[in-house]
Amino acid sequence: MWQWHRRFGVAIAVFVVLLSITGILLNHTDSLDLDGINIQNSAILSLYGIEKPVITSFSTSNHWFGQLDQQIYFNESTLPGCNGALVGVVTLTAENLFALVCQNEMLLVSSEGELVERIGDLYQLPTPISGAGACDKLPCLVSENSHFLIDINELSWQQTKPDLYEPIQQASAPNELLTSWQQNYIGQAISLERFILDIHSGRILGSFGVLIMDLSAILLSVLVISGVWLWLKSLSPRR
Amino acid sequence: MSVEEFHQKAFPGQELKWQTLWVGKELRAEIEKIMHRKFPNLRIRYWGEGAKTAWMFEEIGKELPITVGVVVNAGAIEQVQIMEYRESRGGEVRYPFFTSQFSDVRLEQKKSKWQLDKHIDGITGATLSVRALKKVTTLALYCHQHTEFAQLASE
Repeated sequence: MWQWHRRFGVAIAVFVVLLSITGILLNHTDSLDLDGINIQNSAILSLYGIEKPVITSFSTSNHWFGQLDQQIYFNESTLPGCNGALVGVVTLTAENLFALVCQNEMLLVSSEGELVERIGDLYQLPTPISGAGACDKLPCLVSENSHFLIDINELSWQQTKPDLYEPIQQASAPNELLTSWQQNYIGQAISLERFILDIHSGRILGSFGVLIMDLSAILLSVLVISGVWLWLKSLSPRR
Repeated sequence: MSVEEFHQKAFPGQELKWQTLWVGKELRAEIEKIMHRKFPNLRIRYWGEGAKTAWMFEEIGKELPITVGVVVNAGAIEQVQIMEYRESRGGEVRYPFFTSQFSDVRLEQKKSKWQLDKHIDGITGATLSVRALKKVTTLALYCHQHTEFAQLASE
């Protein structure tokens, strides 16, 4: 009996410690503000099937533009999604607008970050677009190896020579902004409270984890019973 | 139907420049009421000449956007063209037997709600597409009212 009692004890030791620590933390959720802390660790997020998205970012006229999945960001604010990957951002100086050029669509955005217009197939925009920049200092885009000047007033896409094409290059946004975009994108998906609760219940490892925690709880009960029984048994001969 | 074809149907033989209707706060609120959804754009493109305007909008029927061209003349619908229909069902809305119902339809306001002044017969199996078309035509009529071309007609 002693042998089995010891084996069960060693087998569930780690789980009992986990249960105890997570249980204590969960008892103090409010005072520790566990619900207000969001998990940012990509390894933990991947356990929930949440992947950190790839970020594409461009900078022009002291503004930052980024795309995470389909979500578009203008500095700290969000814009409606764009059809396809963001391939460049060009400044339309005469109109005081920015053209966010995606593979299948162009978003016109004011300097205050408001969506002015969406330009897509309807306006015979040449797609798929693979790049954007300046052709002889005029805004232009590249589609299927052809270069087109952007005339946003006439909505015309006049083919031009590629000789003087200067593509806009991706630029890495400041870390603070990248974190803000990522936090916005991931949102408040997983709080620390949820993570601790899932460790406590074993759900972090799916149904297998729940079974392990169930088994640990049963073995802990068996340990209590066997411990009391062994103690009572050890008392009997002395009597 | 391409944009150029629609332009030629609306204004045969004329080369017109794009006009822009800027969507202010009040206009946006009314547009969102008509469309039953958010309308983030700050401006809408159209063509205009005399008392006539031509609009192109995209609106989702069930799952995919329907591209619709609407020509408004002196406050009444002159023609409705389904430029592109992408849904797998409900394509009957493309045909003249349905679109001709919109001819001469005007805008009316009932209980502070903008709507078409004539009943449009539905099509079994194309309820959502019909609804989308009614919204788009109402929007075109409403936007027309806010252009200089509507004011030309009333003078």
